[in-house]
Amino acid sequence: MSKIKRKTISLRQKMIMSFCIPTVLLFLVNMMLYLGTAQMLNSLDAIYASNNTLNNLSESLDKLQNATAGYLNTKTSDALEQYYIYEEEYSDLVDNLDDNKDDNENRVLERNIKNMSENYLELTNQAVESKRGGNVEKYKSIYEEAARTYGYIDTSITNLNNQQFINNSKSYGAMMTALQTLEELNILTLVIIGIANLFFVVLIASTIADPLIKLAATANSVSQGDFNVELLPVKSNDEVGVVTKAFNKMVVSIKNYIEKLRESMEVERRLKENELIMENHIKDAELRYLQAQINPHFLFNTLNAGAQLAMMEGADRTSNYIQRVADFFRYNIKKNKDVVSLREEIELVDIYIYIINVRFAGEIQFTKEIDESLLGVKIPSMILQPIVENSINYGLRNIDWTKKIKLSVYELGDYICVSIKDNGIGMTQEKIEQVLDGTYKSNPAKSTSNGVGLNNCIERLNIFYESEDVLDIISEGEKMGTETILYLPKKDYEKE
Amino acid sequence: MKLFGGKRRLKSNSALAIAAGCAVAFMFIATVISIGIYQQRMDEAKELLAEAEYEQYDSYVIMISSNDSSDFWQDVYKSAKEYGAEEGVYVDMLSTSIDKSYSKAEYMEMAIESNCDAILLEGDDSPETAEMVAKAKHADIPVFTLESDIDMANRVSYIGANSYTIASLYGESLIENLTKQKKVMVLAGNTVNPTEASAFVNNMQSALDGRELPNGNLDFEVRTVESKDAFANEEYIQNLFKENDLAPVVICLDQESTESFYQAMIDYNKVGQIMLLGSNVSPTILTGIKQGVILSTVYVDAQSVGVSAAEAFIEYRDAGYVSDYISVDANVIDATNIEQAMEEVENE
Repeated sequence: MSKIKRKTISLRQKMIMSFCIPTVLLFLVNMMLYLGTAQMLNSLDAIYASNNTLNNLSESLDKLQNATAGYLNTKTSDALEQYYIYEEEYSDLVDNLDDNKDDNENRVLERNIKNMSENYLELTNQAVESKRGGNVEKYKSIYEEAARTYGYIDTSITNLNNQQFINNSKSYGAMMTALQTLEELNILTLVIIGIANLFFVVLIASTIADPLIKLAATANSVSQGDFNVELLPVKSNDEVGVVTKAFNKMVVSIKNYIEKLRESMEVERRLKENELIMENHIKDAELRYLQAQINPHFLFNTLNAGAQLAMMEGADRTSNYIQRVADFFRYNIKKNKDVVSLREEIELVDIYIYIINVRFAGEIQFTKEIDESLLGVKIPSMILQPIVENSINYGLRNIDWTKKIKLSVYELGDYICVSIKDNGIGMTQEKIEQVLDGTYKSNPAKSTSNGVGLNNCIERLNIFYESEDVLDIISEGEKMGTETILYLPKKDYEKE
Repeated sequence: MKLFGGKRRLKSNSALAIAAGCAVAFMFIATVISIGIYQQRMDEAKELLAEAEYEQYDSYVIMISSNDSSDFWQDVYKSAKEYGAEEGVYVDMLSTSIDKSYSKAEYMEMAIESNCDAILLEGDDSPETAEMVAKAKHADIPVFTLESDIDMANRVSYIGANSYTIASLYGESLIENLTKQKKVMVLAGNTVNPTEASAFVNNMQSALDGRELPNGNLDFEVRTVESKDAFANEEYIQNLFKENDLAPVVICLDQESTESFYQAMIDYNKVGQIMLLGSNVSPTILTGIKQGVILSTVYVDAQSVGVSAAEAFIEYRDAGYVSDYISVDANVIDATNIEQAMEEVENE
């Protein structure tokens, strides 16, 4: 796992996000709608403000007219007070009207209302003053004029109010259209945001669920024994990512464990196989001996009897010879154990050479150069004698010079070397290689071997030492003799 | 995660970041657009509400007639208003901005109370009008009379056609078509006062004096409608037809009477029996001339009256005085020039 810190979003954060973002978006859109509506409501006040002003003006005018008539009717000080209050109120409202010179019907009407109202205030004042002064004729005519003017003003205000209401309604209509537009836009925005949110939630859900589904599928494959599954990609470092990583690790370690187990089983199987082959070879050798030597016990006993007879007759050399032949066969009989010491093997070679020298009138000069300390090493039985037999049969048999065989045992590095060297006809390199890799076929008719061939020896040595390089054959060429060397690993000996 | 399509599979975190970013960006854009459009609409609404920048006028003049809604007075008003606007004069007709119907005197009082700079008045001889004219004079508001005059002492100037000229036009039209008719009924609606009607007859007689007529001098009979009630003219004319109180030649002195009489002639099957001479111009009257029901009509050019009135006020305002009589041409429409007159009306 790389150490680089990736920006990670945990499942919890994803879930909070999937809840918070839509909420915030919806909140914003609603706020927008709310603010729009609030603005609209504020503007509504402004729209009909002019109507309100005119309504107040009209109301105040009515009050003033009533108060004037009230005072003229009763002449009470209460009524006079009322008159002054309303006169001031109306006067203030009239002052607020714009004394404009705008070239517009409504503005002209507003100006006329202001002018008429000022004249009306003047008339009511005169009427009240005349009443207070007791001038009956004057206050009556002035009141009549004021009443007519009141009518004109009232009509004008009503007309202006209506006209402004129409204009204001146009503004109101436009604002309502604006609000409707806002509503439509908001609905559209909400719908699209809803879709976007749905997409967003699906996305988050799939980022949570997809890796889990894949993990489950892979776990199923593993549970059914398929360890060659592809490792799951880790897309995020959230909780699912952590589980996926752990799962991947587990799959890898299970794979490694199984691989190791398989290798060790393979080794064991090979070992068992080797053992079986070894056993087969030994059995084969034994069979050959048994076939060849009919009944060794009978032969051995017979030979013993012959030796005693020769001794009784005073033929000591014969007795000795027969005794040695008997020893040779006895070795064969008792060697039913697979592994013997090098000493025993060399003893057998000694006996064999003695027999052969009797047979061939002592023409083979057999010499030994042995490190006595190494003779205890264990080797498979019936190895040296066949090698020596081979040297005699193939190397020395037909030569016309002195036949020599030298047996040496010495240490060479980690190995105990056993060398059997003759001075016979030698071997070509090609032939050596054929013999070593077991492809050389000798002419059976010519064979004088007692049956245990070099092939058998090589294979048994290879199996025993679990190595291909135990036996080597060296020949420097024709008539230069042949040396067969056994390289026995010293560590086996030392262990024992 | 195939939503992004293709083989490009994004890492879940970056996909989430992009999705979140897109959602927020979309929200932002949508909100900005919405607010923008909303503000635009609101501004449009507020523009309607806002006070416009109006042209300023120097003088405020109120025009008052006996029948503001008639085509003639509407034309006079419009032409005066248009001409005045160029010279900083706002010509107003109170009845256009006030729904309630007031009498001429009441409108005059309103004009005086509104402190207007001048009154353009269709004169009449009623005492109420005279009282208000006096009141206006008292308030230093100059009064200009249009079409009909009042006491010269109280008004500044009179703008209208010469009554003799008008009578001559009728006379010419009559002579051309007169066969043996002798009786002529002069029908003055309730907007024309009896004095005017009598003056008209006198002028007619003067105009026809010395001319050879097929059946000697004509007998004029003036009929006026005293009642000012609604539909009084129409009722009066209907009664004339019902009672067969008619003359072979009828001269109507106002537009309303002309139209009513024309329609009554058709309804009572009197076409061809009565020679009708009308006043003023309207689509109905033109149709009547085209059909041959109305012989001819004499009218004063409304535009000339309006423009002349506005001119007179401006001159008075600027110079302090103006000629006390301003003449406006009168014209006649009959079968000879009806096509041209109709074209002009259509073009307007």
